[in-house]
Amino acid sequence: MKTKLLILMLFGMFLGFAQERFTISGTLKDVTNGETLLGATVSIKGTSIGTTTNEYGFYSLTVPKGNYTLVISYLGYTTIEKELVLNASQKLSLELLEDNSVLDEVIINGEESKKVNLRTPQMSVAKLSTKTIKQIPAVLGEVDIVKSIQLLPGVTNAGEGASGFNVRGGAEDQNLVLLDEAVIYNSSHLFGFFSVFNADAIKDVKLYKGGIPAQFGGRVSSVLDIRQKDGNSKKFGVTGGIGAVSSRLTLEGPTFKDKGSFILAGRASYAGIFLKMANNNSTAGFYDFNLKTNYAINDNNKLYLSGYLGNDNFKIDKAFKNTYGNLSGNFRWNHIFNDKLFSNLSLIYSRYDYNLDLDLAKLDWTSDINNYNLKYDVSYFLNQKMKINFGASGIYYKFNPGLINPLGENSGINRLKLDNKFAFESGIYASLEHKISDKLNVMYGIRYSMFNRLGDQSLNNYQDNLPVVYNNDLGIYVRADAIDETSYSSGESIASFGNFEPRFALSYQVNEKSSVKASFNRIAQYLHLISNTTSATPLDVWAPSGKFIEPQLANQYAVGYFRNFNNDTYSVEAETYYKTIDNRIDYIDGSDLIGQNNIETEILAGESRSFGLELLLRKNKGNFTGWLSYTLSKSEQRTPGGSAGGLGINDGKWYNTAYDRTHDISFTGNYKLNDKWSFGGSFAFQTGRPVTYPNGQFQYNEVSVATYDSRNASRLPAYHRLDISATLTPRKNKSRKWKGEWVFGIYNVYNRKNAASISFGQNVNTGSNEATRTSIFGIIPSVSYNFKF
Amino acid sequence: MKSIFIKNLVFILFCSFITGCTDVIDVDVPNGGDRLVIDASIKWEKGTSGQDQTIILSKSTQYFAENSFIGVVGAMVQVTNTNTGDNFVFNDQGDGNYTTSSFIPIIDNSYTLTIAYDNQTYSGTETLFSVSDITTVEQDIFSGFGEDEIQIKAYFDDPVGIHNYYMAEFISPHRPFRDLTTRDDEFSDGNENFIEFDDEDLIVGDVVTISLYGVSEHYYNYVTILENQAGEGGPFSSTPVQLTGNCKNINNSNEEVLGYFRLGEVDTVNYTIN
Repeated sequence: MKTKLLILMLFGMFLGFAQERFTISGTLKDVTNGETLLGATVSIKGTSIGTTTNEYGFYSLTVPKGNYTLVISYLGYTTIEKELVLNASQKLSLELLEDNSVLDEVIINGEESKKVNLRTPQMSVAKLSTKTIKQIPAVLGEVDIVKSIQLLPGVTNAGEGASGFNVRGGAEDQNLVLLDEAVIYNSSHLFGFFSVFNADAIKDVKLYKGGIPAQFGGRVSSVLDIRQKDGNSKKFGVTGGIGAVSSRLTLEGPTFKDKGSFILAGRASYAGIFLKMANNNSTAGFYDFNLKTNYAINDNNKLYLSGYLGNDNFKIDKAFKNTYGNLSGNFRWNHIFNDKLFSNLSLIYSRYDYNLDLDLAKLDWTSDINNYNLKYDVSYFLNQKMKINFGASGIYYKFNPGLINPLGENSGINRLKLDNKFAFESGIYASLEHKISDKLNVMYGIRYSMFNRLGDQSLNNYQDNLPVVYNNDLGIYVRADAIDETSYSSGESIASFGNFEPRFALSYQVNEKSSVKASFNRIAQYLHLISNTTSATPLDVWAPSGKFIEPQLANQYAVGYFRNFNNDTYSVEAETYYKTIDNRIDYIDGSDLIGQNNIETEILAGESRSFGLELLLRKNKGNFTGWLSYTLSKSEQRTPGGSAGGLGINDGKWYNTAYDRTHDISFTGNYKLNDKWSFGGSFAFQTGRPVTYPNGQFQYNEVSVATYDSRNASRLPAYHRLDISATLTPRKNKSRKWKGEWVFGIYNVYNRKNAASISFGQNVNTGSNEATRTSIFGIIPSVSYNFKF
Repeated sequence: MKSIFIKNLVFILFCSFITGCTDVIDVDVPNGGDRLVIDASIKWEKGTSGQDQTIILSKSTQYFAENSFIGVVGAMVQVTNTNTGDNFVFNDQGDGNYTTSSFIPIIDNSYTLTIAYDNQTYSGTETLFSVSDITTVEQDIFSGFGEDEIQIKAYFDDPVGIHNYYMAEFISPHRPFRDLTTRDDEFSDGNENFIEFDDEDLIVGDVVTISLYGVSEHYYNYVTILENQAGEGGPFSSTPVQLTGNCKNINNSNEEVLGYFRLGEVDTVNYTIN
């Protein structure tokens, strides 16, 4: 009885303490096509009170009773101001108008959203609208999301032709690439020349380089969160383009008697462009399909279904055939419990598979990775000072590292199946965004992740549990022989790991125009991309942590300063970071990974660290917009021998990672001359990639053999290139239903032969040593036509 | 099939799609200093006595040096059969070659090489491996890359149940240096195996020489890495590494000794292109 009274008293005190508060909530959409707007701002004019819409366009703002002017804004859209008399909770859903035609400086546009950006503790994130991406000239006229993010500070790639990208000195396998929440394992088509994302189907792109929120886990360096469009819910439309390399077509429109919409986008390349250079009987190409549809059961419940299917294929005569691709699907249920509580349940499937037929070796190789994911995320908009996010996620993995079959009748190859690997990864998280004062905003989050490596497979046991040993006589690391095997039945746990991952961020608004931010995150990564090449290839397999491989664990600290100038015409962002990663794998000299059932015999565990300074200057308004970014950084790793003995790789000393770039300068700009013409340009400069060069040669068995310097101690020549583009929008467009535009571009205008690699060897005719540079793209002009109706 | 081979193949094939791929340039490379090179390959040609053998000692040079061979003279070279105790002295010919004509090769015996040079002693140990015969040599036209190339395939039978390692050499009249390749029976144990070579300059009437050697696992790794690193450097290649042979300076184990001491039976076939 007494306790009940106490609780009632406290409750009453609390109620009396607080003023009467009401909640405004709703969804923000685009008025022309009904697309929900992610990250749009809803704020109270003249105060620091505000919030942003979530990934589904939903917002909730709880304020005391009163009269307010609500300001609703979103970058690229006309701001709405609405007078509000708040004496009861209400639903307020609005539609904003995209402002395409405004050329002059707009004073209000974007101002409120900029203010909220200064205040939010979220730092180290780059958000790119598809509109911005389409203005950046790209390879062969193809708009490319992954190439665009490489123009941002802190993001590079491992060289032209390499797939994937590197964020803040992190490896390619440390990026969580999500397409509508489904994991994409290989984000490239054609060995990295294009990405798998069709910009016509994409609505929003966010790259988190640091300060990664607690709802994400599993990769230590970044999260690339890509959201597809929902589809035009107002009217049926067709968009498309005919380009130099590929063409695309997108259909979208309302469905389910206007309770939903759909979008279906397809893209395919032509073999022709490559045949010209190769010779007969060869094909190279890719295709991809994006699908999304949604159905609103009622105001509080909405279902979504999204899917992606992509494939690359190469064929050279009968000698060589290679196909690979991603397949993913996501079924989601948005449920709004009340005006403060929003939830989403997702059921996701994703798959990556790879097949190679080599007639030369009479071999057929297949490998794949499948995952099934269930996740539940909830946002609780408690009041204008606090927002809580929490949720849970479980992923079940099945890896097929390789199945080798003989190809053809005369094959000398025996069938070999590498053991399937199974694992279950789960996580629960909670985070609180707390507005401590007008100037100080903090986000505290914690994630607990678990990883369980499961059986149905047998694993080798080694003497002293050491699969790799240092052989003193030979001076190298050798594979240990297995002493026996342990069999694990289906579902039996081989190894399990659990990690707490605190996430912390704060922002302090110094004044109206500037703020200081800091963040810390700790993340565990349980999957590793096994690759011993200088850049990732489709032949690389994903391996789960287990008996011999520990999870990677990263700690990243970042501090930044943000400032807007001249009424938000310019903005400057400066960030500095320091990241350490434990249990980074590297490969012993001469490691052989293909067909290797026992990867533990090829690797040693070490650590890596990276640090840098990123500067970004943006011009946001006016006829000329764009940005200039500069990153000064270092990324290195160390792999000591540890219990295997010996000094380790490179004698246990720190060496550059393969993706260390000291200087990275990027510039991109777009100039709108008039209604008809706009011009774009981008320039990139990067310090050459680290490589291992020869430091001498000797004659052996009548051939010249090179001796090598320390690992990654030399550098390739610097990389730089300039691209330009011009877009012509015929004036007739304005009134017609059919809108078209021509895009003319030149990639690598001054034809610099950037070295993708330099190889050393004897000239086949003279026998003397020479260095050969391989460069991929010279100057490439292109023309494409985009249409919409 | 080894990963590097596949990866390089994949890169070359892809490269053939794109214009303006490769060109020769000037590059500054570091100088690691000269080191002793022991080129000691004892080859027992099938059907012969194997008594004439040569070991070559030299110094390494800078990578782009004009003169790539500097013979080492004044060393004392001998090979001892540790099973029988026989000792074979190799005589200094004054130009880096050290020869003997009294060698006795015995399959599966262990031999130790000892070199005394410049007040240091170097030593290495290896076993003499046997090899299967080359059963047939076939000629094929390979047109996978657009142009027709003559391809030579040498067949041999792999003994089942043992993990065998092979090295093959291919000498073509059009190449200034020989082609080396390695093979193991990981995916093809007990089957008829083949090693193939192609040289786009081969024409009817050319005589090519193919040699097949049985080797140890360590030497197989040595030559595999050597070949992989000889010339291919695309983005899909692995980080090049220092080759570690099996010879060491017994006074100073930190000294980098280049080259390898190995012994093996060899089957050689001369084939005329038709």
